[in-house]
Amino acid sequence: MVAPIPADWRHAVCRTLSSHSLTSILIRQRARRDWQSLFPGTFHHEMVDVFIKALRNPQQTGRLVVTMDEPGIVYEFIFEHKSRAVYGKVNLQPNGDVIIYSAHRPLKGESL
Amino acid sequence: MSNPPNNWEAIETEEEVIIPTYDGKGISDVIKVNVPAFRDPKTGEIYLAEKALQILDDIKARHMGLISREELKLLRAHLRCTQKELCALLQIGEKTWTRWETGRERPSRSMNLLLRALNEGRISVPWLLAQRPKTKPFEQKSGIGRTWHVRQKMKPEGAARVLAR
Repeated sequence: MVAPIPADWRHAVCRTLSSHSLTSILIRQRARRDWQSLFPGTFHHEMVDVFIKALRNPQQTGRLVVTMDEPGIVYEFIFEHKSRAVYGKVNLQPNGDVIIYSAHRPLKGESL
Repeated sequence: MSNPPNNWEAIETEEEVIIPTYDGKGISDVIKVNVPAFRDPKTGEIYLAEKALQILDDIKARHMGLISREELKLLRAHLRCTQKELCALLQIGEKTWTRWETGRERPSRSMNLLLRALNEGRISVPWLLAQRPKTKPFEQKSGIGRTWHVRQKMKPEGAARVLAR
């Protein structure tokens, strides 16, 4: 069910991403490649900034994903960047680390 | 380095770095680079962490002609200024230089030109100081007055080098 993403989860993810140290962030290879194809001029820190911006939005909606192998709470969501819709999937792990699984054009239209 | 799950394997993977054109709308080059990564043996998925992302971004920056993090550190050491003082000199946000040095942010292409000019001695600290806004709030907030003070305290050879620029 698509619903506003819980604030606790959003805030915790943003906290880790905002550290920008990249010591607590893993990016799946496919996500990096997809992002690079979508926005070839950007650096990785910009990708992280865009996710922070999206998740700071209290109106950001998403859907809980329970099919990932890694421990943690995963949400998928769609947000806009540079007038393009982007599908994101992020895992907040129990230790606070974050995995960015996806960052690409929505594959099923512009809704989850 | 972040802590991947215990069963993930440390591997090396080939990644493409896309170098954009000057206007950022096209691709001028694609470079292949081997970087460290982790692989989930169960799914075969590959994940990149800190080290790999830094390598990829540094290569991209270099091919875009952006001044490197190392060059920025050397420039700051050469000018004998703190990061905060350099931010004041360049009239940029207080922590921007720090983010450049750590690779958390990259200078824009236009700012890069200014940094290159400063690095190559084509513009000087006194020239930058002369460009500062005269408004008091800026001086108080930025600590630019301290920059000048620090520069005056430089060892003679350092000050001479800066002033000679």
